[in-house]
Amino acid sequence: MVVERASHGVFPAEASPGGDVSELGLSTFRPGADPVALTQVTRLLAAVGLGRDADIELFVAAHRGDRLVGCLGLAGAVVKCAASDPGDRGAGVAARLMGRLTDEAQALGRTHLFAFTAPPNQPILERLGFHTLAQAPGDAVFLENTPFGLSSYVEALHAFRRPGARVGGLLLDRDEEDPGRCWLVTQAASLVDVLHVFVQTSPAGDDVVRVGQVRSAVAEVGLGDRVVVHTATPYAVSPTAFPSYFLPDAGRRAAAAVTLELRLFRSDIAPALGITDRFVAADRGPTRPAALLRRWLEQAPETAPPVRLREIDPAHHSPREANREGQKPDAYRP
Amino acid sequence: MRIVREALAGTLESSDALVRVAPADTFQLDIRSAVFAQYGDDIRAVVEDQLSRLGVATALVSVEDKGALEFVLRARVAGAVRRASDETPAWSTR
Repeated sequence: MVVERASHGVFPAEASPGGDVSELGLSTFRPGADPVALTQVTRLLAAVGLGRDADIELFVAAHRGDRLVGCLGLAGAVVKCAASDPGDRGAGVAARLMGRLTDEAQALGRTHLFAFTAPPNQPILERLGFHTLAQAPGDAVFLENTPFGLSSYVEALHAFRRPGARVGGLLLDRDEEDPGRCWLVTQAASLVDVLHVFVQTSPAGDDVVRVGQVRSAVAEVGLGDRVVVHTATPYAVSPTAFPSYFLPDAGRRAAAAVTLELRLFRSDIAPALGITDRFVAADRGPTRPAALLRRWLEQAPETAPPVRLREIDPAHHSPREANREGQKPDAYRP
Repeated sequence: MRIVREALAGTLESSDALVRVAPADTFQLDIRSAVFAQYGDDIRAVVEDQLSRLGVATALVSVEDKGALEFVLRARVAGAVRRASDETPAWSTR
């Protein structure tokens, strides 16, 4: 046994409950460039009941000899698809993988990372340097790898506070079409003194362009002084950015993403800006039932004050009429 | 040294620490450690002393400690600060 260990190098191998004493080797690969490694990783994920998300840019894999014992993926700034061989747990594999992935991400200029995971894995990620942001009970936990991320963002938001008795908040999905977006903004703005508009981040990396489009549309209809269009933020969790590997049910996944977004909105974003009303389009689809929105905005006991849910029904107005109304904003004051 | 970008140094492995430094107008230090109850104050003192030796007055600093010894902690703080700054530290005087 001793001889075998020595043959692997000068350092003694880590003890492993699986009985394999080979040294742990780490490697990085891009899914498109290494089909063999990708098959191995997919098999390991499946063995622990997880899927493999299609948007992963790179995987870090841990091997003992030829055997894959752990993997971890990165998509944009989101760490996902973590798995380790059940026989190899507790041997420091997760810490080694996260360390390697953090280095790879840093080399790509990404130091601020996020993770979504199933609630049982929350303590593991917290041991790996992550801090919990919000939870969707029973379904998902949202974390970031710094204790200062959300607090710095919220601190910066204070500079965008505007006085007003009723202050609105509106989140634009990234799939919203331009005329519909503009209409939603003018409608919501006509119902409050100040409106804060948030744009969900997109993996396509066109956030700055999309925010710019919304800003010029707002300026065009003469609402520039009452509507604040914020830069895209990962704290406005987007259902399309939410990973699917640990929650196979699409309905629960969408509800979990909405829950995380609403809880962060109510507990941190709305109080920082003094937001009293949250606007949503009435035709927002079946994944955002009013009961779910109302629960997290108005009913759930939180230290932050409740935010009133306001639905805007596009069926009652054509976009053309809305633009006209938007030019005389006082007409819709409550 | 002035912190101009976010940077990391260290690992999450046993006997090491992961130190993260980010630019800010204020100074904030966050420490997480399994031995925080016994050594939290010592870890804080070492990190603050090392930062002041390096001339870092404002930054967001987080330390994820996995039982690092003092010299490891000092090295990790110095490493993160060096990566987060454009200046070259005068190592010889430290």
